[in-house]
Amino acid sequence: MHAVAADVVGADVALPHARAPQPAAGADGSPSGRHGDLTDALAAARAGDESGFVTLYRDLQPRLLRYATALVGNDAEDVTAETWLQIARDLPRFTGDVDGFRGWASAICRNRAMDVARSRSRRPVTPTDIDVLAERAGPDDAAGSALEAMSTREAIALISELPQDQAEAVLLRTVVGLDAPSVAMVLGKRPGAVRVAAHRGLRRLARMLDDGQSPRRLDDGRVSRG
Amino acid sequence: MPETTPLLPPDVAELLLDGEPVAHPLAPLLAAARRPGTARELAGEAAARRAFADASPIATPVALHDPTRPGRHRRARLRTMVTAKLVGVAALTLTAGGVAVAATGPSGGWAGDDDAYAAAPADAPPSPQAAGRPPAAGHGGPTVPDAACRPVTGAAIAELGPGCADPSVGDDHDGPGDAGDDGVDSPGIDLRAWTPERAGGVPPAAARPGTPGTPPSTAPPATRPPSTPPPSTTAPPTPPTSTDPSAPTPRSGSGTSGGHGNGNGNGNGKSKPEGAQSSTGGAGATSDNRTTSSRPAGAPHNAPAAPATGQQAQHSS
Repeated sequence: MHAVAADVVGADVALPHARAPQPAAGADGSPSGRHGDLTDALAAARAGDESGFVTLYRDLQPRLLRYATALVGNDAEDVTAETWLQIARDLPRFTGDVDGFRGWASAICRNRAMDVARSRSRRPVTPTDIDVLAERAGPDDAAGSALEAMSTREAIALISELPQDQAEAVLLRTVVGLDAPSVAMVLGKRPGAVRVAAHRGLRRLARMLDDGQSPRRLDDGRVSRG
Repeated sequence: MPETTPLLPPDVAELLLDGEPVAHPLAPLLAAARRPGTARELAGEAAARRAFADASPIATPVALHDPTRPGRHRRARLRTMVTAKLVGVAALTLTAGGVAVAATGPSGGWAGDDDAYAAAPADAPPSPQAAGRPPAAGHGGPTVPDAACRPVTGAAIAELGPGCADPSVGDDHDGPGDAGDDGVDSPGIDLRAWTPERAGGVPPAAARPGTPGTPPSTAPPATRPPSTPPPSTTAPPTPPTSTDPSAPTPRSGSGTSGGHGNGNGNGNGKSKPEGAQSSTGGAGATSDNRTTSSRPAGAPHNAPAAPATGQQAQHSS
């Protein structure tokens, strides 16, 4: 992943527009009725109900963690932890629906990732090898889930090899589940620019898959900038 | 170098980005990226719960008070405005009070009276009340003299210094009753200065409450004693025992010239009632200087008082 630009987006601004709920983005895989459940969970969490907050967490945390992994690598868990800390603190002041909540949380996560990237630029650390991350399995992962996790990590690793604007556009649209205007608000760009970046990112991913080579080797010079 | 781009129409790309099922090589990759979260990815749930629980006591009231938040801001703004107004009113009051004090200070304060009376012997006669005030002060106020009396004793006597030192000033004929009533010459006093006062330049003494009508001429001798520290030269009209209320001698009373009339007062054992009793019970027969000094001034018809004053003057001289 390239160095993250310090494009600060207001983290406390609720995003009013978001696309229709993602059918495959849920944790349980049942898209129907899930949006309504999340709406209820959001209302309950805003009223102080912990179960509603947990429902939101379980729905959004994996997406944010993958997005943050593409941005900052190993520091993704710290970034998401700070993100949820701020969400828990500012949730009663949030106004909007579930899609707006996703955009709001994504903006917070991105801002925290920017902070980590800035501190990392001041205090250089050893960059994380994405292949090592992909081979690392969780301590409580079963064998089957480890394979699934690896495939997910591999997918995230491939997307992370894209240029930053393309990678963020693809991740926010496919993983987090935002529409183009919401992604534009998170990234501080116009929706058309976000759409173009996402399309270019997909084309580059398709080339990577066609070549059957790692994106790193593609970046080494085989494919020019798309 | 030409870019090798696989076929990816924009509509297909949008479907892929939206997560729609599309037959494209990228679909499995994006589906893997969208896969449900693993247990490891949700490992921070407990910490998030704690954060939410910690933030709830703060966050919940905020949510409950969310509609009234503008009211709270308005209340704070109101409080600030009221405080500013109170401070402004207080400042205005203080300023107005200062102006009022500055405006009324020279006319009614001590300094103005002092100045006025300092110039009194030169161009204007001292106030006629001054003659009757020392006894009054002797009755009531122990130390602080009245504003009408003080200047006369200080500045006027300084002006009349030689005349005061002269024993003839404290003479019987120059006493309060004589000089005021008849206009008999007094060596140390310019009689022309008394003329405008009689004409009405100074309000009559009877007009002031608490002071009997005193002729203006009685003022210089009667007011002399309180201001002059050495009684040998400046207090001829009244013996020091009775003129100064703060003096310890009036208590005994018997040893003084007025002692014979203060026999009633001694029974009381008080100095101040003593003077009152002497003025009433003594009825002028006593030699209480308060009655004697005030009686000729306030009641010129009281004949025995005037000789008493002269008698005291003779005693002092």
